[in-house]
Amino acid sequence: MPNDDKTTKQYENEAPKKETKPEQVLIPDLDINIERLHRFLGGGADIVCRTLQHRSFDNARYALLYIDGIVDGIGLNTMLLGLLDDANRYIEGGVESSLYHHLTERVIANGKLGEVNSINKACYAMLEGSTILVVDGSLRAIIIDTTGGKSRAVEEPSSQTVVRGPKEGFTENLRTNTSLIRRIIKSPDLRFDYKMIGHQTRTNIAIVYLEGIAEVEVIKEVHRRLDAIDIDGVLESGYIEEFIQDRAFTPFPLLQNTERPDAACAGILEGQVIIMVSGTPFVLQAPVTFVKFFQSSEDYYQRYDIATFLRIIRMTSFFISMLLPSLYIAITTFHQEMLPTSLLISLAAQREGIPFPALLEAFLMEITFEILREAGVRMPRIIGPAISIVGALVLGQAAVQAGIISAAMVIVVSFTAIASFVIPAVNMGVAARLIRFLLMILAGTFGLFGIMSGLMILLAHMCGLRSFGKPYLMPFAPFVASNLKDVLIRVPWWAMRTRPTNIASDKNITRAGAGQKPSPDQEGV
Amino acid sequence: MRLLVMKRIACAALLLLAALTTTGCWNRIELNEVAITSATGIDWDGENWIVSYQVVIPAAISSVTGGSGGGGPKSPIIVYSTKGKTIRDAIMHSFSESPRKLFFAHNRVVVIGEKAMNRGINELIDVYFRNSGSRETVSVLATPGTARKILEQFMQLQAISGAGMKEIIISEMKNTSILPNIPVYQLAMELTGDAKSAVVPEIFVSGSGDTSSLDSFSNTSIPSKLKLGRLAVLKDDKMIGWMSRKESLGAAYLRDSVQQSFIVVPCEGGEGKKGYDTIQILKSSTKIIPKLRGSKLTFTADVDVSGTLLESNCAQDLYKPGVIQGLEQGGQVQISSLLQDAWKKGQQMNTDIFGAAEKVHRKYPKQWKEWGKNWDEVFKEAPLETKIKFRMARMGLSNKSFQYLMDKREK
Repeated sequence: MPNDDKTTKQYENEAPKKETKPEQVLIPDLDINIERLHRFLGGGADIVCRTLQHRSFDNARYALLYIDGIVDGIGLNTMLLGLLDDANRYIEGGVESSLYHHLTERVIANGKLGEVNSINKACYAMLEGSTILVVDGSLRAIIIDTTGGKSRAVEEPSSQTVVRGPKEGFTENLRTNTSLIRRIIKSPDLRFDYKMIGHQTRTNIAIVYLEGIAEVEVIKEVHRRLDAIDIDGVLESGYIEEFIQDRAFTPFPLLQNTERPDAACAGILEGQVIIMVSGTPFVLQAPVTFVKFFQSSEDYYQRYDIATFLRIIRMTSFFISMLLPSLYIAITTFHQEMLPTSLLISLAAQREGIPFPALLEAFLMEITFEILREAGVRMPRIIGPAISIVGALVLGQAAVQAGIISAAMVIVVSFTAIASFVIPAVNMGVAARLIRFLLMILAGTFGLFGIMSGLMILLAHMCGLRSFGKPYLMPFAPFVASNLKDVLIRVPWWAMRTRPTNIASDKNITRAGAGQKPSPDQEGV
Repeated sequence: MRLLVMKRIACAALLLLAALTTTGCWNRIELNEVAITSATGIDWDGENWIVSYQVVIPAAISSVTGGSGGGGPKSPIIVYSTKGKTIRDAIMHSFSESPRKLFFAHNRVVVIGEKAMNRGINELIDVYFRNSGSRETVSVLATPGTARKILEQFMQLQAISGAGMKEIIISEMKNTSILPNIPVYQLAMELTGDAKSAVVPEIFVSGSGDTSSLDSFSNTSIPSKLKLGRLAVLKDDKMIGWMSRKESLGAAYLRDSVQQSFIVVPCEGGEGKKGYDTIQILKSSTKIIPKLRGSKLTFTADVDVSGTLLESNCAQDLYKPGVIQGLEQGGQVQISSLLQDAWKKGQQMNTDIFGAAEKVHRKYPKQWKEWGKNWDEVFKEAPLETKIKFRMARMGLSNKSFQYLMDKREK
C-alpha cells in the first residue's frame, strides 16, 4: 500500500477533485498560450508574466508565469538571472525539443521541476506557488517549484505549553510542518502520503506514519475516509475531523489534535497516523483511546513518579469537572444525611435566604461562568483585566453578599472551572463541560440515582465508541493488561518495553531492550 | 436500523422512568426547607408522649453572615415539644407549628425522661427501626428529670448541645469507660437478648439553676452543666433502677466494654503514710466463662488488663520488681472488688446486664431450656469468681517516685 503509485504521487501534480473547467492543451504558439493562461486565472494583477528572449537566438522565446506573493522571490530572481545569462548555444536541430531540453537540463538551477501539457494543470501549479515556463513552439510547459512567500515562523505552541520539553510548534505551512517531523524521526520508514481536498481551496493534506509500525488497516482506512470527502473548502483540520470520525453524534472527541511536533512524533512512534492539513498548526492523530487525552507530552519528559501523580490528578479533575456541580445538587437536595453534620449546618447557613433551588442556582452560576469564559476568549486582549474584575467581584462576591447565590455554590462552580482547565486536551474538556449540564439536570430531578443512571448511559455509550476501528475505552474495555503501563501510571522508560498493542501493528511491538533498569552493581561499571 | 435504535432508546428511557417509581418517595428538599434536629427528647406525662426537638438554627451558628444583620448573640438552637398518643403522632403534630420539616438524619442523641423509662420504650425502638429518616446509631441517654430540660441546656465549647452530648459520651467511653455509649440498635439487641436486660447511661443537669440562656456565657463559669452520671438498668424495656458509677465501671469490665480506664490503688508510703498510685488501664479484655459444678452454675470472669503508671505519691523504688508486683496485686484486688460489687448489684436488681445469659445459652444449650424459663432465679444464685491478670506495662518517664527521692535526701 505505501509504495502504491497513487499514494506516493506528489501533490503538485495531482489533478483537482472536481474539474469544472474544460481541459485545454498547450499549443506551440507562445502568445496564445500566455493569453489562455491569463484568461484561465481571470487575469488578476498578481499574475506576473515575463517574456524572455534567448541571448543568441531571436526566435527562441519563452515566458515565465507566476503568482506574486506566493512564490519565493529570491529563488525566482536567481533563476531569472540564470535564464538571462544563458549565452550557450543549444544543439542545432528541431527547436521544439532542444530549447526545452536545454532549459531543463542546463539552465534552470532549481531542484524540483515538472512538466505539463495542459493549461489547466499549469494554472493549478501556479496556484500552488510554482512558476510556469512556457517555451515558444513547445507543447509542454515546465513547472518550477518556487513555492514560498511570507509565512509564520516556527514559534512556541500557544495551546499546549510545557515547562520541560521542545518549544517548537507547528505552523500554517505544510512543508515546514513535514520538515519538523522529518527532523525528529530520521527513519527511512517514515512515510508522507499527500492528498488534496476541497474543490476551491485545494488544500494539501499529508498523511504521516511509520511503515511497519502503523497498522496497515488503519492507514488504508484513513486513505479511504479522506478520499471520500467531497467539500469545497478545508480551512482547518476540524473540517476533516468531522468527516472522518467514526461516529457523528458523541460528545467525546474521536481524534486527537496537537500543535506540538514532539507529541505528533510520539504518536507516530506508537503507531498512530498523523493527518496534517495545510493552513493550520493543528494536526490530527488517529486512532486514539479515551486515556490518550489525559496524557501530556510533558509526562514523558519529566520523571515517571511525578508524571504518574499528575496523570491521576488529571483524571480526577476530569471527573470533578464533570460531576462536582451535579453531586453538590444531588447531595444537598436529596441526600442531606450523607453530609457530616457540621458541613450540613454550614451549607444550610449559607443557603438561608437564597431564593432559588440548588439546581437553578447551579445553572445560573455555570452559565455565568461559561459566558465569562467565552467573553474572555472573544474580547480584545486589552480589556482582559476588566472582565476578570467583573467576573470575580461583581458576579462572585456581590452575588453572594446580595444573597442571590450561596458562597458554597461559588466555590463549587469555580473549582469545577479550574478542574476543567487541567485536562490537557481542550476537546476532552469540552466534552466534560457539556456532560456536566446534562448531569446537573439529572441530579436536580432524580438525585444520585439520576447521576448514576446518567453515568451508566455514558459508559455504555463510550463502550460503543471506536476510533478508526479501535475500541475507545481500551485498555479497560477490552482489557489489555500490557497497555496499562501508560494509563493511570506512567512506568519508567526502561520498563516501557512495548508499544501499546492494538494501536500499533502487532508485528513490530518492541520499543526498548530488556534489562535496562539502572542498578549500582552492574558488571563492568 | 434507525427505527431499531430509536426503539432501544425509548426502551431505556422507559426503564429509567419505571425505576423512578421504585425509589419510593419524591424526596427532593432544599437545605433551607429542613429543620436539622440535633437531639430528641422523649417524655411521658402519664397519658401522652411528649417529644421534644432541639433544632439547629444554621444562620446563628455559622460565622458566615448570610444576609442577616448583626444584633446581639442569637441562640444557635431552639427547643420545642409536641404531644401525641404515639411518638409518631407527636412528631406529626410538629407540622402545625414548625415552618420547616423536621430532619432527623443528623440527630445525635435521644434523651429519655425517667417517667418514659419507667413506662417502657418499646415504641421508641420501633419508631427508629421502622423509619428510614432516623439512624439507629443515635445514642440513647436517660435522665432523671424530663428530657426537655436536658435539651434546653447550653453547653460550653459546643454550640449544639445535642452534638455535644454525643461527643461527651464517646470521649467518656474512650477514656474512662465508666459509662458505655449505647446506640439504639445496641439497646434493641440487648433487650431482645436472652437476658432481656440493657443499660442506658444517665445525663443530668449538675449545679444549681440552668444554662438555657446565652447570658450565662458572659461569665467565666456557668451555673450548671450537662454531666454524665449513673447507669440506668433496664429490664423488659422498663427501667428498674440505677447503678452507681463504681458499679457501672465493674459492669463495664464484665461487659468487656472497657477501652481505656484508670484505677487508683492505695500504697504504703513508708513510715505509716498512706498514698495512692493511679494506674491507667490501656488494654482490657474480659471473658465470662460459665461452669457447671454439680448442678450449680458458677461464673468465672477472666480479665486481662495492662496499665501504665500515671501518678505515684508513695516513696517507691520502681526499679525493684517486688514493688511492681505489689502494684499489680493492688490492681487485681481493686478490679476484682469492682467486678464483685457490680455482679452483686446486678443480682440484687435481679437483672443480668452482663451478657451472662448468652454465654450460658451457648455453652449449655440443653440445660438452657430449663434455665431460660426462669433465668433470673438461676442468675441470682450464681456466684462469680474473678481471675485477673494484671500487667504493669510502663512506669512512665521516671522510675523512682518523687516522694522516694525526697525521702532519700532527708536521710
